[in-house]
Amino acid sequence: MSLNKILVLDGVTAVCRFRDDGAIMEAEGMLSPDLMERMARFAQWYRRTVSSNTDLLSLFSQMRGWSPSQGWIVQGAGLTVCSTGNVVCLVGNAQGSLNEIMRALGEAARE
Amino acid sequence: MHIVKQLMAIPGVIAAGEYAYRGDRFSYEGALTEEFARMASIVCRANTLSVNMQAEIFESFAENCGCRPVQGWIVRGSQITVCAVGNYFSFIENRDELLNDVMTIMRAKVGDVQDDLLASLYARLGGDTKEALY
Amino acid sequence: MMELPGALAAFTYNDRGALQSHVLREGTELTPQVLDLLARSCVANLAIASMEASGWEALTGQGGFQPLKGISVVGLEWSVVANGNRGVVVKNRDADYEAAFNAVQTA
Repeated sequence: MSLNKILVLDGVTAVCRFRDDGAIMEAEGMLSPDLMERMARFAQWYRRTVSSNTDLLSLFSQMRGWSPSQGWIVQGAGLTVCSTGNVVCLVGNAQGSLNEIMRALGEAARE
Repeated sequence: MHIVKQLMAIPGVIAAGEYAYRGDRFSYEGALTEEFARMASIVCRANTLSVNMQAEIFESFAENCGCRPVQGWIVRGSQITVCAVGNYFSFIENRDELLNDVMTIMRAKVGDVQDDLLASLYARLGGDTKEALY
Repeated sequence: MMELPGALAAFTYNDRGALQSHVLREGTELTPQVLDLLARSCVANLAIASMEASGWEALTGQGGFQPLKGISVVGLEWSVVANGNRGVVVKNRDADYEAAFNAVQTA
């Protein structure tokens, strides 16, 4: 699935696939190269943090189903960043459907 | 002397060990069960990843600010303190001067943690660095 | 807190991590903007540490962590030590962690 299929979804302004070291593998959308790079790095570190926290939660709660974590969403006043696996995208809150976007990110991440 | 043995020789050090980044490989000495050591390893990994992300964020605002690469962290409890430097951790009692001594030894023995710490520290315990780290 | 060995900055923050007050050692590269970020990370780290402390105590039955007395992040050149609503940045070379942890205890 190409990243363009995510980019065409309502509200999505930028999407990128990143490597384990935070470098960009491919990117599409309206974000300057510098910001795209920062988003990829942020996404990669945030992914690790979320994965650590879900490991802790799963460890201390002794509850199955949290770990390994699949993705995360951070919603701000006007913008949302969401990610599944190694794909991350930037969404305008007013237009986007998070359910649809998360589903598409999940498919892209499984490739 | 190996760093863990050296730490364990200090009165007040409850346990010390080495952890890998997935929390699945670890070695330790002291008063922890195997299962607790595995848990400690997961906790250490979580904290290390978290502080590394923060350091990267700081650096994007203040280049060469002296925070990267992160060398370690400390959590001070009411009677016990956990400290980690690189991929070594220790559980110590809150005794006078013990924390400073342990930190001095750990910093000196582990040496400066280098930039690519995730991959290199993982490799140190025999992990496959090509393998995903989460 | 600025009397601690190697102290570069001392600061207080609210429960959400916004910087409330600070003192910077003259000549340090730290800025109020970095301190604000640092304060937010302190709140996050303290929250995670308290989750770990209560989870650890509940699961292992081993006490001794709660109430938490603080956290520290050791950077390449400096360390931050924080507890409650206050934090201090000290040079690693001169750091006295015990004194720093004592200094950030709320009376």
